[in-house]
Amino acid sequence: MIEVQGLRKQYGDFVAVDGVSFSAQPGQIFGLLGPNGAGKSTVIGCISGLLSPTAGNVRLVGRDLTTDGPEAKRHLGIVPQDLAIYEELSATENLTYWGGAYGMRGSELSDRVAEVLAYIGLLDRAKEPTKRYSGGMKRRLNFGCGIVHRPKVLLLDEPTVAIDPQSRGRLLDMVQEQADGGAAVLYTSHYMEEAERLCNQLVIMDHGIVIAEGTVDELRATLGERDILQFSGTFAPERVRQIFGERLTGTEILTLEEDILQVAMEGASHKLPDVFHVLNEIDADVSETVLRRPNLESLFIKLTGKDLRK
Amino acid sequence: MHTLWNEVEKEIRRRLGDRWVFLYWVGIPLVIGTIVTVGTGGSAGPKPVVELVVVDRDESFVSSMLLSSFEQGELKERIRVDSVSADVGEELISRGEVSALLIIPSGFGDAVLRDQPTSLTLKTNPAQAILPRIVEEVLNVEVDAVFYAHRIFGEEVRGVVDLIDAFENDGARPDEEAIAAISVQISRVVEQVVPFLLPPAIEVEMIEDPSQSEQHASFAFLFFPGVLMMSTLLIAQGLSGDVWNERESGTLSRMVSMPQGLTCFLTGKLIVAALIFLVISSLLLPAGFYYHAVSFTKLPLASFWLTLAGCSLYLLMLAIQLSCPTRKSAGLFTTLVLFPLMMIGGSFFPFETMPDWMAAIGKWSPNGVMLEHLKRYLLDQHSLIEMLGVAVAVVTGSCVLLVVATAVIRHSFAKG
Repeated sequence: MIEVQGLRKQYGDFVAVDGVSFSAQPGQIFGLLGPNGAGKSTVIGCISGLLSPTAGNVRLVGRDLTTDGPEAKRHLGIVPQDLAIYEELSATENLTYWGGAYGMRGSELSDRVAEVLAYIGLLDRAKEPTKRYSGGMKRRLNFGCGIVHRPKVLLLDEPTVAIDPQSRGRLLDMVQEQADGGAAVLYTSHYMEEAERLCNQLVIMDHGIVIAEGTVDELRATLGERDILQFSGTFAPERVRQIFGERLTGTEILTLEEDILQVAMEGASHKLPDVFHVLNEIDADVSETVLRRPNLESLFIKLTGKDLRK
Repeated sequence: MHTLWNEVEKEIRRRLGDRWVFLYWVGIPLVIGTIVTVGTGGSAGPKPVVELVVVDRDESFVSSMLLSSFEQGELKERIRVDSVSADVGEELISRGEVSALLIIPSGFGDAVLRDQPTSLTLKTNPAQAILPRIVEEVLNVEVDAVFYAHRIFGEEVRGVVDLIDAFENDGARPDEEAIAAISVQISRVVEQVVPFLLPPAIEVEMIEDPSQSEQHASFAFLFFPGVLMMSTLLIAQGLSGDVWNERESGTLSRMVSMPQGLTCFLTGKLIVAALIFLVISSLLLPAGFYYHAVSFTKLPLASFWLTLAGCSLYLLMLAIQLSCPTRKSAGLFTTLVLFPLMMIGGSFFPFETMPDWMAAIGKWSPNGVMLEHLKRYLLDQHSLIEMLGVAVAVVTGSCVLLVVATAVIRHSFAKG
């Protein structure tokens, strides 16, 4: 399992992550979500041993990463966002190397390499240098390298970025299978539908801190039944705030800048004419309108004020 | 041990996937070596000759004696003397077409005979380091000889000069009695001096000075170890840049999260680098040994020496790469270090052709130290004990560089 306790990472005066705590149990897929710059990669870096925390600690399978690093890392598998494979080597050679680096050898290693090759669907092109592979094939191999040593803890940092829909579906299935096999999986993604599909437990981060935590259902419940309305265009923030307060009671302004306005309200589709009327009164120039039904993505926007993919 | 072998195996597979680089590493020194050999006439080519032009304004018996001294014994093979006019001599030396210009002033012979002050003017070609020095040495020896001749036969010489003056001024022919007296006097002096000279009071045993005997090697041979070291430096730079490939491909970050640690990772790379240096030197050395008639019994130690040099230079280049913020700046900076090292370290020009101060600095450069000991070993001028001392120092320095490189990768480089 993964236990993160009071994690803090500071660069000079800048605090990248502050007091982050969570734990992921075996068989659980734990989602770590947040907009760019929220601190997700810093958390992943601290758990993988790439970064040293300023304070707090990380325990993997009951072993402290700082004091018992090599033993803790022995159970850790990583699938980084950027590919981490040797493109001049074949898939077999890559898997053999990464498995060997975790101490596997002999028939145990060769059997496992063959098993993983079949699992990630690269058996028929196993001997080719990977530089000839498509993006999706490289992603699958990247995943294979992370699981070849049967890790008990698996970190996946946006593993489906720049991947075709078919490969993405297969990859998500494989992630689920790893959890079903008993691994504790920490998953970060920009795709909220992936998180909704896979994760048992979610943490949403922004500005280096945890702003929401719970199961998908628990988080959805905090949003209520309100829709999210997003307008792009040109707005005078002070006038918008004033007139919305006076004329559209029960509407919560989530984001208000000169070029974007996000509000949460019940029955937004019925109230759209009123909203446009009000905006027209204050000479707002609306160029785009988006209405979102309550889902994890609208919750994310409500919490962070940002679209996950921006 | 198993993880180290795993690392070595992976690196070997990666290197074998890039065979063209091997051809480049072997080809560069072969091409340069061939050009140098052809350009310098090879090991059997002509020895360099001093081109000395002389402006003789005195044209006396003494100046003729001086010039004929350059045509005695071995000097005749090394120095070619041409008498020219002053204008032609100045033009030749200013164009750098000759090694030296010697100007003998009018009245030189008379001054020498009368033991009066006089001076010779020697203008040397600054583009040549060794050849003009031969002329300087010969002239120094002759000045000393004239000094001692005056101390021993000064009175007799003056007697002869007086007779000549009398003949030239008054037309008085020297009488036989005076000539006989001078002859007898010279004979007596010789009789007095001979017991001091023969047999020699000091037996001189000629022991070859290693620094001077380099001239026995052909010009092409002087380039041979330098070209090998140039190849070693180029390979070291090429291999050290691989750490950027590891970082950019994400494999270095994955490596940091692994239990085996970075020391194993870097040691594996170093072992494969050593294998590459060993293979390349084992291919290049026999060709040079065969051509320059060096004993093949020296091959194992010479290969080992080049491998050791290669590993230490690889770690040096790696340390430089790791200290740079970007791949581009690392490439630029290592090149900025590489070329001066090759130039001053004896790879472009042998130390023998450099000014003394530059050669002294170059022999202390990282590649220069290894090159100098390799060359001396090939010329039979070095003891194994001395080489062992240098090897221990190099291994110690390399270990320090390895520890530093590991720490830098772990604490900053791998994090990007």
